[in-house]
Amino acid sequence: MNNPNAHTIEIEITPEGQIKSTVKGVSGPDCGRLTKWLEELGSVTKDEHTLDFYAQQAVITNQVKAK
Amino acid sequence: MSAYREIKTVFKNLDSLKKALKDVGLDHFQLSSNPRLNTIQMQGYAGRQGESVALMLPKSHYGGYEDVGFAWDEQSKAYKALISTHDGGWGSHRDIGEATLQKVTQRYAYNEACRLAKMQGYTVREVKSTDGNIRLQLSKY
Repeated sequence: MNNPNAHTIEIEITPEGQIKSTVKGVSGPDCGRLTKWLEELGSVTKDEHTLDFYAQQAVITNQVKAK
Repeated sequence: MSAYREIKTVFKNLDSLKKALKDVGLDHFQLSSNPRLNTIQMQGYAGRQGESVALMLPKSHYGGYEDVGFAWDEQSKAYKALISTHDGGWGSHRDIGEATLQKVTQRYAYNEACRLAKMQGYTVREVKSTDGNIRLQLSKY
């Protein structure tokens, strides 16, 4: 994939109609921006970021502190 | 690098809802002339009498004891299901209850996820599954 914005979203829909989505290939706060449209499907009951998201944030925080 | 979300499906899009009903074999329904007005009065028993909906599945067609349907809720901007307290049928009757609604909900989520994903420019691929879950892979390159 040459496009830096390339990513995939895996969606699982249970027999009861609950939706579980996982975004892969995107780091940091871009996850939320790219998947905002999923909220049109219903009401979000869980929203979790992985360690990579927080690692990205830690880098930004450290850079700000260093200034 | 991933973010995880769980979403409770809500019936916001009428076209995806109609398609979901047809997917599970409920292809006979009545619609209000304005789909955001609950003008169709339902009939039945135990409180069902007098409720009005925008989309109705008539008991006269399905052989149930009461009408069921979907009412537009202006506050949540979505359709709320008004279903029977029991499901399935006995003899010549078929009632539409929670079990059927879950099937409709799953198909709605599938239809709506595909529709929205394509609007966003994703390629949609369904992954085969045998455990009752529907799995989709959405890709953007």
